[in-house]
Amino acid sequence: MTRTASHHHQATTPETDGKTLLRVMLVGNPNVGKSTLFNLLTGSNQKTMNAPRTTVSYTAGRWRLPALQARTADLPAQDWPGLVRLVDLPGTYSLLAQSPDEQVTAEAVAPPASGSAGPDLVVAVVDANAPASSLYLVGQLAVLRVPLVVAVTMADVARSRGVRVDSAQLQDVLGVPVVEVDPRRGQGGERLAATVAAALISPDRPRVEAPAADPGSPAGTGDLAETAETAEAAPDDGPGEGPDEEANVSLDEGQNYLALRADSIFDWVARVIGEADLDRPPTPAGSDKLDKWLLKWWVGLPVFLAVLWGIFQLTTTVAGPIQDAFEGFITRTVGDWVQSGLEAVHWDGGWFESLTHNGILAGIGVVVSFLPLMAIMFLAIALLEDCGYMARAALVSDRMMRLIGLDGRAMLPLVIGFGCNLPALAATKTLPNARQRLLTGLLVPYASCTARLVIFLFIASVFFPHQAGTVVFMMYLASVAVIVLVGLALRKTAFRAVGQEPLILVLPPYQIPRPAPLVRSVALRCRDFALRAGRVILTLTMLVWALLSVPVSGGYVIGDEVPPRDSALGAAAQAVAPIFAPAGFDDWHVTASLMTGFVAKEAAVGTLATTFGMDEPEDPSQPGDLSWLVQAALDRSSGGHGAAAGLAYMFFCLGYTPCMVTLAEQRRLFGSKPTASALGLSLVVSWVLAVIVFQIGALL
Amino acid sequence: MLSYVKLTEAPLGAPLRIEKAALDGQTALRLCEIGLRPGCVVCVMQRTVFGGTVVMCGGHRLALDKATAASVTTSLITSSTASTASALAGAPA
Repeated sequence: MTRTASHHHQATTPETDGKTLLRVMLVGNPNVGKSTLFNLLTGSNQKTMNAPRTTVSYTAGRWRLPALQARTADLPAQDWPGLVRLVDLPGTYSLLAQSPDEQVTAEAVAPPASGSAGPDLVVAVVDANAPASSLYLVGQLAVLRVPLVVAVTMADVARSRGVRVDSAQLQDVLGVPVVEVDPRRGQGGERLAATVAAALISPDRPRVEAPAADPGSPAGTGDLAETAETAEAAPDDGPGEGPDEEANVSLDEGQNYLALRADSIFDWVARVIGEADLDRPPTPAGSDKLDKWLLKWWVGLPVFLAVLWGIFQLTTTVAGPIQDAFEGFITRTVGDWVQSGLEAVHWDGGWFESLTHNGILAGIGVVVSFLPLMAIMFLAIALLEDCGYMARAALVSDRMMRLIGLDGRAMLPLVIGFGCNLPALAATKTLPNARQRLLTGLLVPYASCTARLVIFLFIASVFFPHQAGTVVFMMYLASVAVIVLVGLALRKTAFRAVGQEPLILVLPPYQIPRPAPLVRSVALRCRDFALRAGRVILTLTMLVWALLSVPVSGGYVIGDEVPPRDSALGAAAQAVAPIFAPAGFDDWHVTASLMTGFVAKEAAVGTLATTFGMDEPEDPSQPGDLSWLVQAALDRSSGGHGAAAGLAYMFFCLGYTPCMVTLAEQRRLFGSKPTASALGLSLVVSWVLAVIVFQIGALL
Repeated sequence: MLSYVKLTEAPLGAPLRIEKAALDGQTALRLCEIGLRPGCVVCVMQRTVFGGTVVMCGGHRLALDKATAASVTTSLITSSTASTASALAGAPA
C-alpha cells in the first residue's frame, strides 16, 4: 500500500559536516515518550534551541545510524551519512496548529516550498494505548506526502489494559515500517536506527498512502499528490533539487488542505484501527482508580498543596546547604589553587588577581552553586511529568488560575517562585503553550523570593522595628497582588488570547518513573543551563567586577582597593539616583545597593553597609549602627518621610529583576528580546509602585 | 429510541455514543483530533473539581471543563452493547 514516487535524493551526497546531514524529525502527540526516545537515540549529543522568531524551544542532536545498512543497499559506503540530524519537535495532536508550539511542528514538517527545509524522514511516534489521536497525525503526514516510519510506544501500558499490540499487522495496514520501542526501558532504539537507516537509503522512501478524499468535500476533487506529481513532472536540475519536491506546496496551502481533508483523515483512522485490530471498547484501568480519589477536590487539593510544599522545601531548605557547599568549593578551595598558580607565575597582587577571584571565579561559583538547585527542580518536574501527576495537578488548580487568566500548570512555577525564581522559571516548561510559558515566565520574578526577604527584614527593622513581621508579611501579600495585577494587565494587552481556550486536557496513564531516563534528562538539562545561562552569568559578574574595581576618581589605579564612592559603581549610582527622587530614595548609597541587587538581592544590604563604610550586619533584623545611617540618608532624601521612602524602596526591590541568574535563565528559555522586554517592564512596574507607595506614604 | 444526554448529565460508567458538539470550529476540531469524534463510544469516568468531566475515550482519559462538556451531546447505548456495559461495571463512581 505504500505509495512511492520517483526521487532525486540519490543525486545528493549527504555529508557529515553538520550542515548537510539528513534531517530526521520526531513527531507525535504530547506525553507519548517522544523526548525520552530522543534522549535514548542521541545520548548527550544534543542541543536545545529556540525556533526562529518564537519562544518555543526544540532539541536537535546527532543520531548515529548503523553503517551496516550501507552494505545492504546499492550505495557506495561513502554515500552513506552514518550520522543524521534528529530533531525532537514539540508534541502536537494536529498539524492544524492551535498554539505556537504546534505551529513550530507544523512548519518543520511542511513541504520545502513553505520556506522550511522539510524533513528527509519523519519518525511518527504512535501511542499504542491511544492510537486514534496518534494515527490522525500520521494521516495528516500522509496527506502532506511526508516520508515516514512509525515508532510504537506505550505498548506495555496498552497490554496491561488488555489491548493487543501487533506492530507487524499495523505495518501491513499502513505500508510503512513500524517498530515497537520502549524508550523508558532503553529498548528498541537499535531496531529503530536500523529501520530508519534502511528507509533513508532506500530509493523510495516509505510513505503512507494518503487517505482518500471525500468525493463530496471541496478537497475531494483534488489531491495534494497531484500537485506533487505536477512538480515532479517539471524538469528541475537546479540546486533546489531534493527528495521532497513531490510535496511542493506552501505551508498555507498545506494547512488549508489538511483542514478540508480532516473528515477523510478521521475515516481513514477508523479504518486503520479496525484493520490493525487496535479497536477496543473503553475499559477502566488502574489509573482510573487513583484518579477517582486524586480528582476529587477534598483529596486532590490537599495532595496538590502537599506536592507544592514538598518541592518548595526541596528548592529552599534542602538545596540551600548544598548550594553553599558548591559555591564554597569554587570560591575558596579552587580559589586557593588558582591563587597558588598566580603566585607561582608572579601574576598575583594586581588587577588580574582581582578579576580572577572577584569576576571569573565568583561567576563560576554562582553557576556551580545553582546547579544542584536546578538539578533538584529538573528532577522534581521530570518525576511529576513521568509519573503522570502533572496533568492532574493542572486539572485541580485550573479553575483557580483561570480567575487570573492562567493555565492550571502556572500554579507550580508561581508557588516555587516564592522560594527561588530560578527553578520557578525552569518549571514553566510544564506549560504546554508557548504564550502561557512566556506569560508565566514574565510573572514569576514578581514572586518574592527568599533573597528579597533579607532586604524586607532589614528595612522593616530600620523603619518599623515594632511591626517588622507584619510589614514583611504585607510585602508577601503585595507580591501576590502584583502578580495578579501585572498578569491581568498583560492579558488585557500583549496576551489577549491567552487563557480563553477551553480546558481539554489529556490525562496520561500513571506510570512508575524509570531512573535511567530521568537521570539522563536531568543531566542534559543541567548541562544546557550551565552552558547557556552560565555564559550570561559570567559576563554579568565580570561587568559588576569592572564597576566595582575601576576607579573614576581619587587617584586610584585598577587593582587597588577602590572605595565605592570612587568606583565606577559609585559614579553610576550618583548619576542614576535622581531617577528615584519621586520615590523618596534618591541617595547614591541606596541606588548603589539597587545596582548590586540586580546581580543578587542578597548583595543589596551588603552594599549599603560597604557604601556607608560599615560591616554588613550578621542578622538583617538587627541592623545596629547601619540602621541610623540608612534612616538618616532616607530621611534626608525624602524630606523627612524616611519610613515612606523605606517602604517605597522595599516595593522597588519587590518588583525589579530579582537577580542576574533569573535574567540569564529567562534569556535561555525565551530569548533576548522577551527578556529585555521583561526587564524593562519590571523596572517600570517597580518604579511606578515605589512612587505610588512613597507619594501616598508621605501624605499619611 | 435513542436517549440523548449531555456529557455533564451522563451517568457515570455508562457507555455513550458521541452525537455532536455545539462548539466553535477550532474547539470541535480539536476534540475530534484527540479522539472525541461523532460516533465514537465513550463513558464518563467522574466529575472533577468545579464541574469538570473526565471522559474515557479509546485509550485516552480526557478532562473537559464544564462548559465544553455541556456542549457535547451523546446518546446512551443500551442493551445491544451489554458486554461493554458489563466491562464498565467496575468503573469508579
